[in-house]
Amino acid sequence: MPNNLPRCGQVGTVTGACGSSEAGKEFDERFDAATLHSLRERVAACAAAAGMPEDRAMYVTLAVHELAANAVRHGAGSGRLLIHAAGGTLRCQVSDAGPGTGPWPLRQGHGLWIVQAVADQVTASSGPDGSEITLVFGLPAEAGPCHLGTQET
Amino acid sequence: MPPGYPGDLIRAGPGLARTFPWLTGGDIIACVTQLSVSVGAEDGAGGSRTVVRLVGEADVTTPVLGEVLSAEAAKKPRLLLVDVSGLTFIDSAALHEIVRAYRRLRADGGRLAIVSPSYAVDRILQLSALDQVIPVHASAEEADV
Repeated sequence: MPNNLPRCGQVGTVTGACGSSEAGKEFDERFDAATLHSLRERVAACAAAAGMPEDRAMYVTLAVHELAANAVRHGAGSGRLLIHAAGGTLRCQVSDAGPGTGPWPLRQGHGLWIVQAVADQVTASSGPDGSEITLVFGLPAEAGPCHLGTQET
Repeated sequence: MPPGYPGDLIRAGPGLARTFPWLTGGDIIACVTQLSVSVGAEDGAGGSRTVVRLVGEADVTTPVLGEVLSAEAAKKPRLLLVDVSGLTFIDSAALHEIVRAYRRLRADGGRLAIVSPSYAVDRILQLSALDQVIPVHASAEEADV
């Protein structure tokens, strides 16, 4: 699955290693209906490890869950979650290989409304090979603000 | 129906194997119930009321919530309280089930209220603006006036 979303121009310092003590390693997990529950636990731990305050970590978990649940319910039935903390931001990318039901941002539901309310930035692409959505959350890091470009496909 | 629904028989995949290391991939186990739903009747200030108590986490993989709520709403109670004090997470799919029961009860002249949300669930109710639609109370007594 292509990860061609724009990278932060600023050289990021990894504020938290997700799911690993090895700095810089990304959180990379596949999920389906049976693992949504445990995925939430690990996302919350990952966000906390990246330095996200507890309240915000809960929102990150909720937003990522809603996207993963959409992939399970309306997409391929399973998907993949990548989380990367760098440059003062936490980037959560949810992708699935399903046909989708149209470009993601156009299909509004309650869950997506929650996602847009809590994420600082949402980028989405959808095609015959599946959908990919990236949420960016600002980390309360000592690092300066990181301005990411927006890509529409 | 995708696997993972409570009561379903599912195959232990990598995720389950991580959670339950004694399982190996391919074992058939009964799905862990992440949400327990109990229903009771109580005497309140205005008469009998139905209380649906949720413990655990309610999400898209716990359809038991919608099943129980619609079964209870169909009985047209005077007041249906959804006690979420034991709930640590709720997603939009589960919120939608509560909204459905709320609408159905209202159409039948009854009431539905959410009681005793934990801090986390309260934040989700506020975030989704559901607390603007469905009454949220700190206790059953406060809801039944």
